[in-house]
Amino acid sequence: MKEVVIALCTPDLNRPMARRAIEAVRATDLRRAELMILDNAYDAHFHHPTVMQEMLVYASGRPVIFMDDDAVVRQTDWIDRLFDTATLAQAAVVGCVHTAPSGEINHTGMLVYSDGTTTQARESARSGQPFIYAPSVSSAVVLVMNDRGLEFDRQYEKYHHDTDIGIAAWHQGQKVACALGLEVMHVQADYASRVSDVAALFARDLERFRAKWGGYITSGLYARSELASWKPLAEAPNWDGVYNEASRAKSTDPSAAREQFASLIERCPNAWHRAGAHYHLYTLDGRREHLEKCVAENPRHLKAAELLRELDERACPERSRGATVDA
Amino acid sequence: MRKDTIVFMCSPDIRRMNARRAIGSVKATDLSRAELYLIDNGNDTQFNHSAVMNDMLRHAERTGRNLVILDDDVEIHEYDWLNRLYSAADDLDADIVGCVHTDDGGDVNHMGIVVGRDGLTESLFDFRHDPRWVRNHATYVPTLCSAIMLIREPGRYAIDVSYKKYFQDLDVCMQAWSQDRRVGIALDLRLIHIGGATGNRNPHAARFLGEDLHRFNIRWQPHLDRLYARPELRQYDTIARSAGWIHEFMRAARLRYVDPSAARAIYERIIAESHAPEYVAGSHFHLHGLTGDINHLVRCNEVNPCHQAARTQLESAGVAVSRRCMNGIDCRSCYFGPQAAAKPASRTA
Repeated sequence: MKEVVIALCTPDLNRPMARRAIEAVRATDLRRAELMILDNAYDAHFHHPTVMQEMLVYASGRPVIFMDDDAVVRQTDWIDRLFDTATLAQAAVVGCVHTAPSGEINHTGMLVYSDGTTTQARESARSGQPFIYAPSVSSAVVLVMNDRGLEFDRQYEKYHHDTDIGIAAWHQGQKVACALGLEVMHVQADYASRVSDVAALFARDLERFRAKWGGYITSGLYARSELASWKPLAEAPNWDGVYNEASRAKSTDPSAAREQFASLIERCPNAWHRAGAHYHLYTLDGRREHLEKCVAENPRHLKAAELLRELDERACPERSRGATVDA
Repeated sequence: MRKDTIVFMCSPDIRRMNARRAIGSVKATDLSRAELYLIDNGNDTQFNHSAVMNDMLRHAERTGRNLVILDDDVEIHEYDWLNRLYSAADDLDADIVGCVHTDDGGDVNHMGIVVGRDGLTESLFDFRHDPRWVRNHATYVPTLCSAIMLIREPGRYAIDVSYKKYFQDLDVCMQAWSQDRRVGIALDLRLIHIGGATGNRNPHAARFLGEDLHRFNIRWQPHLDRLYARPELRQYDTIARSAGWIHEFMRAARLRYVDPSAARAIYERIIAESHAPEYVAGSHFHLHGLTGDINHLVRCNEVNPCHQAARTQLESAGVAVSRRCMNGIDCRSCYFGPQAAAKPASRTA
């Protein structure tokens, strides 16, 4: 019997993304691992945390590498890289670098803010080591050393069970790391794009996560020396959360939304968020300067650019047409 | 409610053609009550099928579901196969249920396995079941092959991991009968089972077969009286007491150098009574070796054109070879030639 179990869950092993993921794994070095494909045949009652926990029990102490069916491994020695990181970092949970199909890095770890909200982070090495420690990692590709008493918490409906097991590892005195020498292509949010109530699901699971770990996140997690570099990030506002909250407030309390967006523009270091805030302020106030600032912050904000062109046309149709012809 | 069944298949490499066919066929059926679990062991030389099956049985037990074991050299072309297995299990009140296995030509390989009192096992393939024990096209059998096997109430059973490769499936069936549970097959459900897709590549297969058979006999021979005393299984007792053709054939081969006249008698009986062409042809071949009568080689070639040794010897002797299989292997399809040719003649008669 081989020393490692790879557990790949899919609703249908015949769908193209699953075929691609399976073929990619099968083309790598599997000398130390057996590949287990769990096709739930579009089970309406499929519960990912339960299945993952069942796989930990099934493996009887053997390490388990969990994979989503939208993750594609290309490095033939990927399993060795995960284990090398587990050894070097003395980590119980090991993730890797996730990239978009274009090759841009999606994330290297999960950042948990002091308020318990989470986001994907793109932290890179600072010490020259081939790994970084992270509060947690995504379960799209994750190695769980299965002899440390770690479990997936089944209270989560769909999300945060992976972040949970990372925080649980730190809480038990163990470590979580990301193997920087291993990149997987991860086509994220395929599931989210097909499920209508995904936002509500996410929010419910987030509340469970916050209720469980809120105390530890503020009092113990970032006291770990390995996570020192994450502490300032965690103590800063979760700009994703602020942004989303202000966006939701637009319809119920526009003046509060204005204040939140204005505050975000003043304090947030991320140009993408500032551009979005300007855009939302335009939708609230209709002032042209917000669009101009939006495009200045993010020249790729196509909608803002389009609206600016429309405003120009309305203000000076002749000139606008001429400009177009001249262009 | 979560699905109630795990369909489980193991393969040394899911990219192999037989595995692709097996998986593809299962995926094209109704899996509304099942999850499909595939294990690709990456051609693991230390792979132990019994251990993996038992792990999965325990997994099914822990998660409160039933288990269907499939080999990676089967093909299922019945959309409703899973429900059919369950119906048979309900009709028979059986914990363990299989079905009829055929080769890819559609001919029955086996439909249950009888454990013989001589320590050997005999596959059923042309048995006329006692109609008193047929329930809605399903009936009882002593044991089954795990190329397809539904196991209900997995907590009652354990796959004995001391079996290296074979007989763990028959063992679990014996466990059922010994607990006064039942084992049966759906007579109207067929699957293609090529058989030997993995075992034939394993140089240790023959040794494993012998050792595992020995292990099986030590455990279960003492239980056979009780087994065949079951009313549902009395119909098989005659078979259990008589050696099958394959065993007769093997016995004659062993006797050939010890007691040639006894071997000759067995071969002649096989030719007279058996309808299995490979054994009839083989018997003619060995009788030629014993008697020197070249007519036996001619008959061997007529019955089985795949028999390369007979053909070679005939050609060396300058005898025209009437039937010639050029496949270079025991292609099996040649067997059916004479039978197919014989059928119209007998109808005319």
